[in-house]
Amino acid sequence: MTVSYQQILHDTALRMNALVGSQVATLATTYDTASLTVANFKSADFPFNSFRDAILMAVGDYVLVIAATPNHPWQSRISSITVSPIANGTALSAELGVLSIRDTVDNTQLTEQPLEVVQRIVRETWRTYPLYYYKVSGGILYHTRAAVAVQSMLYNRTTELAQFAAGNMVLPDVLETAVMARAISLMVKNTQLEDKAGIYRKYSEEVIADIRAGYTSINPLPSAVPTIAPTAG
Amino acid sequence: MILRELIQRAVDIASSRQDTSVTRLSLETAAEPMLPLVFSSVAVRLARAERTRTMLRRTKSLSVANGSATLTSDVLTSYISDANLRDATDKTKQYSLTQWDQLVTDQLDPRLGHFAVEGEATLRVVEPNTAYSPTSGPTITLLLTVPCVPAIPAIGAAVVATDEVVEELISELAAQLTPK
Repeated sequence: MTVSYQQILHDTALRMNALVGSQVATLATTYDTASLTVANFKSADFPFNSFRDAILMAVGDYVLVIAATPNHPWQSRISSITVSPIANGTALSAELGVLSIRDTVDNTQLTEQPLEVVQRIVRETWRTYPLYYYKVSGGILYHTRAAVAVQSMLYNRTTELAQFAAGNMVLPDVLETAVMARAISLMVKNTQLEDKAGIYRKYSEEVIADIRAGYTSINPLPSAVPTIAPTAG
Repeated sequence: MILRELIQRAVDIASSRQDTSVTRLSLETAAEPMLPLVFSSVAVRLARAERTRTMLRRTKSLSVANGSATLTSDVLTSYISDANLRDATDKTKQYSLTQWDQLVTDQLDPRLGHFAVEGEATLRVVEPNTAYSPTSGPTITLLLTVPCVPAIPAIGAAVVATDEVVEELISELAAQLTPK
């Protein structure tokens, strides 16, 4: 994950004609600015923070698709493993889905079972043969072991917002273009922009379809994609 | 073989006999509750034949207090006739099994000690050259060798039984897990 949010901001702002500079040299100087600020933006239609929000919305959209695609390889990019062992009946923090649950003692993976089965096994304290079952119900993890570690998919906009100024995006590098395209497609204010934004949206939807199909290779952005020209500020 | 391995082998056998709709997980869940039934039915089956009954014989240390001792629940009292009672400290003593009513009423052979099962699980002992008394009897430690149901150990402990008995236990548990 080495593509910074600033890089995507550069990509998006350039194509939205939002960077200061009507001459090439001035525009190049602005584009080469490592960390863009309000002073580098001239768009009267889209304030600086709207670019940030559109990019984060785009990232969130792709994260949801990856999380909803069973066994997608990119799920590991948005996953984390709990450090503290989790006891039976513990509420899980906001998650997009559980990837795996393992016993913290012998590392055996637990298998999902109906809630009534899990609860019955827990009540039967006379059992000594180890059974590795779990069920997430209503945001609470029920399991038949003493303590487990959970690998789950997480996305927190607040965390990504804090990363925006100087950090990297959570998604794989190959999605840089796709994030830019989707962010542009979200920044629509009038009929003219809708036509051009629709082209970027079409590409973004094709990427989403590829992700849902389990692919990790993404088609490049079509060459005939226009630069959107909002009103200069 | 530890108990966990015994269960896993039986589950493997049972799952291989069934279609894929019956998951191994459901068999594992059902296996442990069946253990008392399996151990008991295997013991009863082996005890019926004299040749296989010997595999079930266990030597137990009995604390006889005032002529009475309690038999543990694993003792197959229906085969008490196959039991042997002895005093480890005095090899000259011999004990003879008798019926309970004979123990309390008959003139017992004074050369021998005598024992009988009273009720379900109480062993009454009379020493050589003494008569039965309900209020006074020997307080002594004796060794009783008798057919027993193999004990169900802890999940990580070995099943104390011969290999033949262990194989019977695996087969019986697998059979119980396999629908007829």
